[in-house]
Amino acid sequence: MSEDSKLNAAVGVRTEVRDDQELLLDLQDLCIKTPSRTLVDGVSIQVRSGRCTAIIGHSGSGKSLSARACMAVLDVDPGIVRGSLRYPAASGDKDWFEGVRGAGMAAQQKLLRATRHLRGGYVTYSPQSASSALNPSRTLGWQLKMAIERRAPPVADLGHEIREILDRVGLPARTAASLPGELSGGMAQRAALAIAIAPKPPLLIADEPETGLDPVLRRVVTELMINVAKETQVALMLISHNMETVERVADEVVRLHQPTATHDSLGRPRGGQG
Amino acid sequence: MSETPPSASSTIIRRAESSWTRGWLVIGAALFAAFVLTAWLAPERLPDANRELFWAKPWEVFPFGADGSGRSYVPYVLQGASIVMGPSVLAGVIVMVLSAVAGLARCANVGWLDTALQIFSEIAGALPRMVVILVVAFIVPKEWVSLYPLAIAWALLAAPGAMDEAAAAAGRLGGARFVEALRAHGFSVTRIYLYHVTWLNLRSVLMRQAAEILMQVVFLEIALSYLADFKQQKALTRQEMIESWAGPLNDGFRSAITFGETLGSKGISAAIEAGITGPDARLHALFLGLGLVAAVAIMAQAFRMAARER
Repeated sequence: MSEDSKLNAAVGVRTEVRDDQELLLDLQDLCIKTPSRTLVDGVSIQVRSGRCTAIIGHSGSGKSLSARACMAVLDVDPGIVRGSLRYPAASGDKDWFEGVRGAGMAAQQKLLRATRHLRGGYVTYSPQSASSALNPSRTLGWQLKMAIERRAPPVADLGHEIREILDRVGLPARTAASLPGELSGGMAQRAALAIAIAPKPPLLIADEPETGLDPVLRRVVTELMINVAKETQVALMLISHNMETVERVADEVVRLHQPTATHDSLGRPRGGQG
Repeated sequence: MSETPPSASSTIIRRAESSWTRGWLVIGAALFAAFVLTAWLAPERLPDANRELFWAKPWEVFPFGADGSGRSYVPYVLQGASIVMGPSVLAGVIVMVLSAVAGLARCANVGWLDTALQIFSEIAGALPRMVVILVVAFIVPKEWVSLYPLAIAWALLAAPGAMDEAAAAAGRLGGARFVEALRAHGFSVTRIYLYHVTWLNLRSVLMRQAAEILMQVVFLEIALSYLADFKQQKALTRQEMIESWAGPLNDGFRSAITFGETLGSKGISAAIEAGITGPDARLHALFLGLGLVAAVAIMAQAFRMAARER
């Protein structure tokens, strides 16, 4: 770890890893910098099939940024200065950060293009705000159709598949014909989850799914996410503030400490403490 | 949660499209096609005068009647369309492109571009539109007189409002967060910005703004030509041998005054004689001019309605 490191991460394993739990994502010793500060440093995350890995930490500690690094989606200059990213189950031992470390925005854009086939299929994402995940001008059914079409063997009966996914997240079939603006906060969060699981990804990254929900709904949505992940055999990387949730559901916890910078959802520094 | 599941996938992934939306699209497309065709068929010069047909009514010279020189109003319609068609479409496209850039800049979260657009908006928004138009009209060399420079100036001056609206629409969409979520779903940059943001979400705003500007440029030409005709000045928007849609309006307006005066003093039958059926009656010219204005307004409205958000 570099000398100017001000952030670090601690990993706690809460349940033993079984042999059949395949390594899906391996992020090692991540360090991301802007010209003026270090955003994250020394972050290592491993996600295995059938397990829930929680990322916790204060606002601005780099949780969302680390999650984006796990998807190779970054817009920070100079950006990744150290670390490696592997998707062992999809691309073997290939280090996706090779040639990107210290190479700036252009290299990150190249990485973005190179890993595009993995996002939306191998790894899907449920953002903090459900409204960001939903296209306001298209019905939920239309958006689910697009997500389902990412699956390798095409689905024969799309209508049946859409109804099944909606049922799984506890939404009535008629919501397929609804626009996102017609859904309540809880329904929108369920809809975002439905879109995230629709491609049947091995790995789902959920960025603070409880944000903006009332306490009751928060618990319901989190429970739903855990149950759906278990039922569909999706490995879950859960970013959360909520220690009670993390204590209850996480197999592994990555704790980010000592926030020194805040950044927006794209990893750009906003200044001040978050 | 006892729902009756939709029977077919198409019905659950797509809402039944409003027949009204399709109807508006057909109306708009038909009027635009007529607009383009009319401009394309425009003759270079008006036909020779025919004194026997002066102020001939539509049932005498089909379909629009004739002017005070006995010339059919059809070439007026064709030439008027040729003056406004290109410049008004160009102005619409300019506003559409600038609005799209403003909307995309909000989503892309590019600082320098936001700043540049803000400076442009502040300067262009602060300029008095009609004064700038007149200045542009007067500084264009005589041999280059056309509606194009005025339409471009009008589009640039009208763009700030349109850009603000597009940026606000992109902001409501979620801005950079929306793009981020789409990137996380594995969509390419081109697909995200051109399809998801512009086509699916900004289209209604862009189309509405473009249709409004198109209509405004047509009305600007008619207004400037009307003033020039009325004051017997040189036209600011066209060469002298080309006739504008302001011609029929100018001809017919005087008949409307006569009609009104006669109606007040001599009654309805005398008014009809003076305005509609008599040898000097020329209300048909006024109806033609107003009809052309209405057709443009209906076309713009049709596009706005067809592109509105569902």
